[in-house]
Order: sequence, then C-alpha cells, then structure tokens
Amino acid sequence: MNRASNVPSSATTDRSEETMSTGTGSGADLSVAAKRIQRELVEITMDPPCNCSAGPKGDNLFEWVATILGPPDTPYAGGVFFLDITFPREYPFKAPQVVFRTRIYHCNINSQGQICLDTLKDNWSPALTISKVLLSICSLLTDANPHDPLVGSIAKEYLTNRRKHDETAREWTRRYAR
Amino acid sequence: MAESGQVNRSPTDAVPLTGDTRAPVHSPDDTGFEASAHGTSELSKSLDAEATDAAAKRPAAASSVASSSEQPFDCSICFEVPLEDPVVTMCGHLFCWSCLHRWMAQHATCPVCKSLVDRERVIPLYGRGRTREDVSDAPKQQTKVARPNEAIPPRPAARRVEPPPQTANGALPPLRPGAEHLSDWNVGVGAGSFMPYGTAGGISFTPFGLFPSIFGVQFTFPPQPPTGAPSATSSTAARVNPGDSGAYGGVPVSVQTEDATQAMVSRMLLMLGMFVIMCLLLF
Repeated sequence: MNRASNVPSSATTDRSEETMSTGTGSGADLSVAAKRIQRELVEITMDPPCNCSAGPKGDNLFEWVATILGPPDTPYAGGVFFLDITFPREYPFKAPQVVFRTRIYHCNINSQGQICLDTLKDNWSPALTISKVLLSICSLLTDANPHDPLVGSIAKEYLTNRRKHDETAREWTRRYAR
Repeated sequence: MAESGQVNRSPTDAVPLTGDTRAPVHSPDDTGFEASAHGTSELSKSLDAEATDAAAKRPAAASSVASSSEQPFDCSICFEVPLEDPVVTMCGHLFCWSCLHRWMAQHATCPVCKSLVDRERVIPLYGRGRTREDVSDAPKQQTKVARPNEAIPPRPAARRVEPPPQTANGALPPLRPGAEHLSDWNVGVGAGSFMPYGTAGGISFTPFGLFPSIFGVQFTFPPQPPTGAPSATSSTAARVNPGDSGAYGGVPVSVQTEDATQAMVSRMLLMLGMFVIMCLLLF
C-alpha cells in the first residue's frame, strides 16, 4: 500500500528537482523557502508518513498536492482525500496553507476544505514539516476535536449521536473519496 | 511522530504489530525461506534480489532519523548545517543566527520546544577558523548574502569567565566559587574552613575557631593581586594576555613577599584588636 502511494510522489520529485535548479524566484525569501521545501520533498519521499503522500503539483515547488488515505477503523477508511498545500514565500517562518480538496464530513473541516488545526495557525513552528502536518491531519481524522469545531452542527452530532455521525461520514467517504 | 507512523503502517502491510524493528527483519527471511523451498533457481534469484532490495531499504526505513534529512547538527529552521554564525538557545537547540533572529522578530519561543528564548541569551558556537573576529567586540560586518535587505545584528558574543590568576610559581590556585568577588580578605559567613590559597608560602588563618560559622573571617597569604581584567559578566568577551602568566605585573618576587609580610603583620594586629573587642563585648 505504501509503495503504491509513494510512486506518484517520487515521480514528481525528479521533476521538481529539475525545476529547482532553474530557480523559482529571485528573492532571498524565495531561495530560503525553496531550499527548505526541497529538503522536505526529499525527506517526505524517502520516509513518507503513514497513509500520506505529497509532492509538487507541477513545476511550481510552492504548490503541492497531498493525499491522505482514510485511517482504518474510522468512518473515513477506504477513502482517498486530496489536499492542496500552498507554501508562502516566508516559509518556514509562516505556516503552509493546507486545504482539503475532497469533501469530508468532519467537524474540524468545513465545506471549503479549510482545516481547524492549531499547528497550521497560531501554533505553527518552523521546526514543523509538511510530513508532521499531514500526520497531524491524519490524527485529526482519527480523533476529531468537537470542542473546537469549525462546523458546529457536525460537532454537535458527533457528541450527541455518534452513530449517525459516523454513518454520514462513511456515506460521504463513499460518495466523494472513492 | 515518525514512530507512531511506523506503528500505524504495519497493519496495512499485514505485518504483525511487533514494533518496527522486528517487522522488517522477519519479512526478508521469510522470502528467503520460501525461495529455497521452491528450489527454482530463477525464482530464488529474483526473490533474493527482492530481499537484498528490502535489506538495502531497511536501515533507511528502520532508523527514520538517520534516513531523513534530519542531521543531528542541522538548523531546525532552514534544515541546513549552520555554517555561518551557529547559535544555541539556552534550551539547547541549534540554529543559524540569521534564522533564529528572523523568527524571534515576531516570536519569543524556541521553534523546537517552545521554551522562552531571550535574544541576548543565546550561545554562539565557535568552531575553528573564525573565532577571533567573533570573540572580539569589534562591530563585525555581517555579510548576509541571503538577506541583504534586513540588517541582521551580529550574534551575541560569548560570555567568558576569567580564570583565577596564576601564583608566583605558575601553578593555578584551586578554583573557589565566587573568588572573583572577594579580595584578599575573604570574609564570609561559614568561611571558617581551611582554604589554602597558592602554593608558595600559602598561610591561611581561621580565627574564632570556636564560632567558625558566625565569625568565620579568613585571611589568605599572599594576597590575591588585583586583576585588571574586566568582570566576567561584561557583555564583551575579553581575552587573556598570555604574557601575564609570570610574576604579578612584572614585580620581583622578593619585593612582593616583603610587602605581603607587612600586610600580614598588619592584619594580625587588626585581628588581635578585633579579638580584644570581641572579648570585651562577650565577657
């Protein structure tokens, strides 16, 4: 499963390394960010986090696409969720923007795909990596945080009628993530 | 993070949950056993190749720290080895000074452990080569090619603690805590213990031996020469002139001993006077 999920990211790695040598920006910020993103790309390709893969979308090293496989034993199991990652020019001093592109029924992820995760906002640290962020999102799928919700109705259902919540989440996974 | 990842990964690969060190060790052995059982040379070859592939990948997968780009001495912000101006925070985390300075423009916490970080209390690391210009307090021209727009101040200089001066015969006296604050009159509560200072004619008195913890007044001989060096807490690091290691300031030793003897006699008299006053007060 892992090997299969690694293939697309390693394929994109080679391409991105080529684009790196041509240079993506002239600013000092860009070169700092690009170097760091390049390192992360190598790292995530060599040692991908579980159920996750990520790599640049195309020639732009600052635009990545990531996939997260729904963690087993959750209503999201069997689903493949696509995410868009946008690195700011000030990366790693500013957090990357991570958005779900696949619809998901989750109290911390809204219909726009925005994720309520502290490490992507105030608790961002430049020592964090995309690999760690994806792992955090994975664990958010496993354990939702209904006490700090982004979608109040889903959080309420999660707390009051967990069975119905899980059933809807499974249904959404079947419908959108396969 | 990586460990939890490894543990979660194993069920998907149908490997028993025995931890990530055991699991990869078993799988190539199993394939090898299967190959020998089949007896087909081609099959065994291909499986062997697969096994060696797996073995080659195994160290990388097993030790995730070593395989990833997380080198032990990388800056935790740019993930590069900080060749220029490495600094260490008080919580022990290594950064490039330029990276840490930029982060601390808006935050006051360590990126790794969230401990409070004080800009003035980071420790510069000096390797071989660029030590002199770093230690001196001369304003160093920061040639930051990466960020020419932002003026990055020079990293804080190291804090040096001056070693105690050497005695006449060149031997270093034993270190005493707080020695730099005390003159040759070592007066302190509880300082009644015998503390030999210097090896050449070192005499130490412990008067009022009955009440050492109360009246512990210690006189040392010969007196500690006054040091011209700035105090160790000054922000600029001072260097020791190696030429000063002989007699104190070039004064002949005989003259020094005579002075010292006189000083000692005067102190003894003073001590006697104090003793008499104490007797009068007590009895």
